[in-house]
Amino acid sequence: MIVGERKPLAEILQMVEGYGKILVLGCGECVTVCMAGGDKEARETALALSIARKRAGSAVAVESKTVERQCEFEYLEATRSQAEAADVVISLACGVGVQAMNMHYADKLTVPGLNTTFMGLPLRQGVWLENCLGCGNCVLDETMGICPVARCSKSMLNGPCGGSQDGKCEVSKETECGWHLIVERLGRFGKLPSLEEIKPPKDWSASHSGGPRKMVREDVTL
Amino acid sequence: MSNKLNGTQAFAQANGSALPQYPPCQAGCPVNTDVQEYVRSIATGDHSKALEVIMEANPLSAVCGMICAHPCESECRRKDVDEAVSIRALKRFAVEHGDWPEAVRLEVTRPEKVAVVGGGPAGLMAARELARLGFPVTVLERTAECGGAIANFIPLYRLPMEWLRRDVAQVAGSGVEIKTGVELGRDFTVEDLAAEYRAVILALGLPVSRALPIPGAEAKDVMLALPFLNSAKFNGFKFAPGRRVIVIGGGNVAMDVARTALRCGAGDVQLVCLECREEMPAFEWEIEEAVDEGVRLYPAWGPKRIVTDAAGNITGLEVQECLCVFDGQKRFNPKFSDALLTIEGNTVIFAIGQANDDLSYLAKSGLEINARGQLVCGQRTMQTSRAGVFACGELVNGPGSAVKAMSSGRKAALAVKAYLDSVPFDADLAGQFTTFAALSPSTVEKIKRSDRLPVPLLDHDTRKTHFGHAEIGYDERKALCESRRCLDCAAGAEVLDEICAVCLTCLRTCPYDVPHVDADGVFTIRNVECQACGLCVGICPARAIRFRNQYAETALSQLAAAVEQGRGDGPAAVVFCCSYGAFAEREFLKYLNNGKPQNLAVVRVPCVAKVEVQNILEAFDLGAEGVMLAGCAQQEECTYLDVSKWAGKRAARAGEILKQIGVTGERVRYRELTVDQIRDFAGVAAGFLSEIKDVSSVGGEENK
Repeated sequence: MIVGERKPLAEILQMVEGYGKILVLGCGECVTVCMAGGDKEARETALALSIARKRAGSAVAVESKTVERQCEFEYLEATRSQAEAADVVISLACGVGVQAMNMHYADKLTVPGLNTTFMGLPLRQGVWLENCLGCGNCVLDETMGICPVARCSKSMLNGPCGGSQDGKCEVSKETECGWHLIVERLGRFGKLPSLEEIKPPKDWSASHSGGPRKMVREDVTL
Repeated sequence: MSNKLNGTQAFAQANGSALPQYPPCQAGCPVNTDVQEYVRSIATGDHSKALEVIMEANPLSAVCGMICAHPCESECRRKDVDEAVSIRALKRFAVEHGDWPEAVRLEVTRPEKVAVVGGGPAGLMAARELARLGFPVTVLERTAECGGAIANFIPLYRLPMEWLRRDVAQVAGSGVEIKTGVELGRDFTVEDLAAEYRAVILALGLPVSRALPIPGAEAKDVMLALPFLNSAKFNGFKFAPGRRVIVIGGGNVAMDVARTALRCGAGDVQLVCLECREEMPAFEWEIEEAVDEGVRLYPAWGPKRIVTDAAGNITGLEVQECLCVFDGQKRFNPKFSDALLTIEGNTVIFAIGQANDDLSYLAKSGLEINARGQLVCGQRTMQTSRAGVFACGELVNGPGSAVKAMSSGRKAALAVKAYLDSVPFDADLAGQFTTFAALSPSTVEKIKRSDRLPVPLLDHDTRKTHFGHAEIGYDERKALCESRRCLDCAAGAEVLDEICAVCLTCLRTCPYDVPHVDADGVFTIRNVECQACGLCVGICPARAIRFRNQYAETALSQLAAAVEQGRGDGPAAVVFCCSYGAFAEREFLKYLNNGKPQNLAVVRVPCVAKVEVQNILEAFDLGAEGVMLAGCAQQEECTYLDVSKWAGKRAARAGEILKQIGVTGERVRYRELTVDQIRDFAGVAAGFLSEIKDVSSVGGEENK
């Protein structure tokens, strides 16, 4: 899922300075699950803005609402009256949702309340880990199910760099070396010799490096 | 949404609509008292509310507080963890410590007059329910006061009369006309009633003691249970010195007789019954209290003959060993060995069962009486063979508890209404509800153990010397503790599927294994396992979990009013405190009502871990300058798990959010208070207000 975290409230306050009527819009999917932009966060954010503006002597009308999924226009329709009535919308969805709002309500500015951080999973409650960069050309079969693109700080494809020490990455001692994990797992499966195969350069054009991607499925288009 | 109805509403609910689901205690109560609600009310210090809930279902609230057979406790799911909640004793506490309301005269909305013959539990219930349905009702009671067997036979050491009188006064105050000293068959007939009333309910009870036709049964010192109990209760009956009493019978009446005999000066009391000790029909606690007082038991002996001397004086009771009472088909068919025993004594009291009066006079009014002398009455229609004449209580169902008789009275009232409305009635359909099964073992093992508090009694040497009330009952501290043992079965978490993001946060947070992913990967919150701690509600990012019973929401919704009320001199501050334990004690509530500073708003929440970050922010949005979450330092006494951890995290998170908008996080704090601090909350409050004042005066907050 997509993981995000709420922007510092001071930053959000700055974005909406001068606006008198604000809608904080949560999203019921990924950002709910990662506890950054669901209904609870939307309400808390709205209250925080209200408190801040009251204390600053510029009271503001803040409403909050959460839609099922902000990246679907049909769901966005459900918030039309509030969106149109607001001077500005703060979206607590990922960047996709923010853009969907700006596309759907072209005359209304929707600003991001979250920083969309990564695609990942909850390692345990309250801890999320990046797992996928969406490179468009999955190699997990070759790396024993551990992604060298996402889990290696350098996205290396032919084994660890010299900065791998005691299983940790030189970028941060908090970060596990992805390649260390891959090598350990190859060993467990008796596949260490596969490391000796030289992998051809990865085709990065399938990733964002090839420009914004678009996918069309003719069998389901209307 | 809650689908809980109060007992009467649910009972009267037309068949076909969704059935209410009751917790097992409420389902086990023959009048479906909302046990959970009154136990919770006691736990939060609202004893008057508890009494109101009890009275809603039960016109003999005080009586049942003292002597109810409490089938609710047999169903209590706490027994799967350790022991059932002491529900009956809590009811007594509410009855004694709640404020009794002024009886409100019910409006008569129906023209049809109804007569209820017999003012016992069944009759009083039928009358009250009919009055609630808008009918003018008259109770005709043959003795001097209402109560039936409770008035006439229940010994005073179990039930002082004032409590019965208080209940009856409520029924009378609600508009039920009560005429005493008038007897059917003597002073009036069914025809007389039919001329004045559109319907008649016969609730005549079983006022006649049975004896056994054994040799010697006609001896002069042979007595029958009910006349003996009545005489001891009202005529100050005393045994002459040296009387040695043998009671025959193993039921609750036999226990009353044996214990009454001790108090009437019997030299000793021995009790003989057919059943073995384990099969004795009396309640275990009745037997134990009798034995403690010195009653000697002879279980599994059948009376053969009463032995008398030449002068006709009783010298003993010859008994024969009973091997088993019931046969393979569970029919009464006792088998005896050859072993004989003579128990020495000079007085014998039969307490082997009860029967109805001679009802032949009713046959003359067209009511069918069967070959055994019993009134014929449809179990499901509650109707006798004469149109418009109904019957209920022990007369119809045989011997049983007062609360069971009341259940029957309630059905009779509905049967009468249906009759007068000319619609069909089926007693089996009238009171339908569902309940749920035992807790799953995985939940049981996670629930904190907590011993049931014994109900204080006078010591047996003291209590057996007089007819004063033998049970002392819980004091407030004990009642507050015992009421917290309630597991709040199914009152807690329910998931709103349409909002749930299925993130499993609740599953990871719940200390009781209530949210669950089954083998097919389907997620559910198993509401009937929930212990209502509320941790899942506070953490669910989708706000997709609600309590089935909205008591926590109701408590939190008091915030705005509390802050509004708290606007006074100086910075307003809000305390969210627990509403259990010392926070439910009279002293603390008195402080809230009369002692707290005006600028301090206090919101009592059934567990402070139910306070969400949002609630704390709301307080600030309403203008509070500081918020305290006040929990209790006695974690080991708390029913819930992890309260401190989560309440602390909520406060910290709210502080962090405030910090981000330039308000110091110092304005939010979580405190764990000792019992002494709670009892002297004025000191805590003063300290908190002064801290908030200090924070405010220092300034430096960006948005100030």
